[in-house]
Amino acid sequence: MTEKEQSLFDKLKKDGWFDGEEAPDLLASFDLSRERVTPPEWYVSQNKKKNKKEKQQVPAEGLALCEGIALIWPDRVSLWQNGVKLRDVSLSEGERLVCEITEGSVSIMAAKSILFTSRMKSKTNYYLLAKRFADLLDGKEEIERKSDERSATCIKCGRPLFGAQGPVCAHCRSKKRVFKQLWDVMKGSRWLILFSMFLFFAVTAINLLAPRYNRILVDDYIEPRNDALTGFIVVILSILAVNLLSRAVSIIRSRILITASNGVIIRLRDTVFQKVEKLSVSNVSRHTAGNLMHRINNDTSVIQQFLTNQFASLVEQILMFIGVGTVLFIYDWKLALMILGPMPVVFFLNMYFHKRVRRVYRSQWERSSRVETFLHDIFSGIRVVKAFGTEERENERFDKLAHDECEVQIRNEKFFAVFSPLITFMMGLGEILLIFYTGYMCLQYGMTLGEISMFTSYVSLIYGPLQFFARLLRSFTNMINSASKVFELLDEKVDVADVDNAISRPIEGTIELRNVAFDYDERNAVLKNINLTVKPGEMIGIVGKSGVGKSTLINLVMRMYDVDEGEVLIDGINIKDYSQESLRSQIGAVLQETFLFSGSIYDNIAYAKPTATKEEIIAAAKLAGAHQFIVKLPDGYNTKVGERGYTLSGGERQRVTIARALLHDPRILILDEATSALDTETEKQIQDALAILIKNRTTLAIAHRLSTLRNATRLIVLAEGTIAEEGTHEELMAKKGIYYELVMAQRQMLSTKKEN
Amino acid sequence: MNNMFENIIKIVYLTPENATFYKTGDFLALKTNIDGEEKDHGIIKLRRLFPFEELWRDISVLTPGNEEIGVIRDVALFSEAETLLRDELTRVYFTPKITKILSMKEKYGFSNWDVETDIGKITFSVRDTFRSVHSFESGRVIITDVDGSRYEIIDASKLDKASYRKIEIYL
Repeated sequence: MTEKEQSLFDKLKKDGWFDGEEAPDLLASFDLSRERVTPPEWYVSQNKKKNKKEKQQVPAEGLALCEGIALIWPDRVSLWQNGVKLRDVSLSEGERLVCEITEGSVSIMAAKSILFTSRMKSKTNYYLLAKRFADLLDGKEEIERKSDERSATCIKCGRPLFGAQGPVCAHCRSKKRVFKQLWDVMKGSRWLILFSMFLFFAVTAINLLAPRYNRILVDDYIEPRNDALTGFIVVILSILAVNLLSRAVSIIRSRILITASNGVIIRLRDTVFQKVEKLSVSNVSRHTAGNLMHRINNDTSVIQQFLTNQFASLVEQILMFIGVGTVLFIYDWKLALMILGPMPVVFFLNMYFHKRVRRVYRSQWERSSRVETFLHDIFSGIRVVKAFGTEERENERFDKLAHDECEVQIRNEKFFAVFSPLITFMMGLGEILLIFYTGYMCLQYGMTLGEISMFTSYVSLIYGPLQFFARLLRSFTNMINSASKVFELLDEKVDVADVDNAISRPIEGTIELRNVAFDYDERNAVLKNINLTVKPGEMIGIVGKSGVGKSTLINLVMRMYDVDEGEVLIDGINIKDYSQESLRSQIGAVLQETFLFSGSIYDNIAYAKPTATKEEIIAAAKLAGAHQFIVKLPDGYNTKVGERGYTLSGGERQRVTIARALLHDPRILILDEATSALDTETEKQIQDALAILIKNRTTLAIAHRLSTLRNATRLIVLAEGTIAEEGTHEELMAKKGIYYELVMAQRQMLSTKKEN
Repeated sequence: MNNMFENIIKIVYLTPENATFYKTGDFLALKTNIDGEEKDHGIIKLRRLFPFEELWRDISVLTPGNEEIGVIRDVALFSEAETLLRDELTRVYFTPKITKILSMKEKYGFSNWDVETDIGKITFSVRDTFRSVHSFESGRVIITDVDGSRYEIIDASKLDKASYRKIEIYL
């Protein structure tokens, strides 16, 4: 039970919903009116659960979503709406609740009459809900936590959380939290930033002196036509000195701030990158590569720009504003009031438009992220685009995306094109008032020219901050938007995380799968109730039709995903207790997708073991059958591969990846169609070499070409998510089951080929 | 040297004890005596396994049909045949050594180079300069031009200042 469910139950109990009875088995929110879409909210009673979690108070908004609530006991169902009981339905002996799934909704029926219906926003939620309900009706008590995380919704707005940590979604994330996180990121550079702030004080104080000297200059020397040259020169030199000093301190301040803000951003980028690396495969697959890159590159640089340019000015301008404001008030409060008169209006205008501006920036972000995702997609899939000759179509798609982005930008600019001059004009009003006032004072009360000059200087000083605040809305909103995108990623809950005190130890290689079940999206179980024990040194061949879950099985052993049910043990210890680094550093994998990083062949092989000697690398390459083609390349092991490099053939790439896995010297070797791209002869050579290598190592191998698995100690045949057959090649052939059919089919295919 | 594949796969290393290089006409030829088996391979080819890093070490010796006969760890091991091997490698990996960069101008992604080399003045063009200039820790720089020809600077730090400044940003 989630904390949210727990507290909802508690609240319902306190409000007397259960009349002192035992809490119901299932609690579901539903949509009686069938007019509005209710976010799926299903709650399971805690009396079936063993592990109680700490309580957490859920704000009342959480309940507002559940307009209709169904409380379900084994023998009756109680339906409520808006706190009023609608009816009680008793289930007669043997009668069962039936869950009917139709497009977009799930209905619960008893004796063919619909008790209630719940509609879903998204398909995933819909299947998730249906499955969960069906399980409960079947009397299945354990419901996996994973389901809750996926279907969890924001307690403020009811939108799905999409794996965000905490009870609120990104939309509802408060600015305060963003600031706090930003402050946390500044750790390490805080002193530098504080010092540069102190320098701001200094600059402001120095700047405040200048108008005073102006007044002395005008009132004491220019207006009375005083010819005391020494004094005059002293004043001029003082003005120069003040200016020089102010610039000098500014330079120091800027340099410190740039160092500090760059430090902050480097740390932020590193943190974001580390976070992305920590995320599980399923976490990462929820984002697109373009989107992630956008966050790491663009968003952090938006924050950096803000820190370097705006943040510096922000403090300076605030100080200046307070300083000059105080001086003005001291000299003449009426004048000060006149100048500051338009301020509240400007402030309220800013507040009023803030939401709108934020929305515009959000959509601008979304649009530009879409463009980036598109580009990333097209560039990595350029071969497919070319192969299908869809350049023109892609051009149009890009054009549309670019236009979309442009449109939002234009809308944004158009808004600011009106907003900024308007604000500037409002501020300008103060200036006109000033001219009027000083003119009036001069004519009526003999205000000196020097005083007028001083006031004008102060006013020009105070207009700096005012104009800055007018522009601030824009950059500030942009920064907050980017920051929340970055922190949203940092806050993302890692699906596959290390436990506290995760262990690191050398493994021997016993693999055990106990009642393992797994599915990717709750709709269809990929694996069900898998039980398998592999002893150290055994080679297990995994066979079965496409999509039967062979790769999933090895992904679970590598802990790319966590199992939904059951457990995977290595050397008798649950793999969740190992640190992921320790676990994976002892597993070597040659996967279906042969990925080479851009760099040389040498770099790619040495990737698994950067300390490897050249001799070892040559040996690994030779063992993998790669050396033979590498020597023919003009640049040998220094040949650039990967993006833009020398394009290796599928078989060549595969051999390089095999060499990489071999150099890794793993205790557990995983071969997922490792030799599928090789011709039979080369495959046989590599197989023979591998046969020696995999001695004393546990090996899991997947192959469609069944001859690849002839060295296997045992074979397991997967069918419909379970292990259908298990045994040696001979045993399975004698059994004449699925494996026999697969072998026969392949033999037939081979003989047909030969005949042709 | 600790090699985890030692017992699994054997790399044939050619040494003066098991290999004799000789010249037939303009070409280099090889006789081997490996594990008591004498063989005259006739004309052979030399290939650097790490042409960017090792000039005279890790040389693969191939038959004209690209079958590997063995690997030379270091040509210096062959006191007698060393010159033969060096000459052959220099011939195969013919690379002018740049001694001075007279001019280097980059425009629209292409750069035009005007250099002095050990074989005289050369002008060449390079596409995507940042990716075509490879520098190594030893100071060695290899430049690949639009035609795939290679040029080498043995030690960039030993170039004259004016030349060095021209390529500094690409290193």
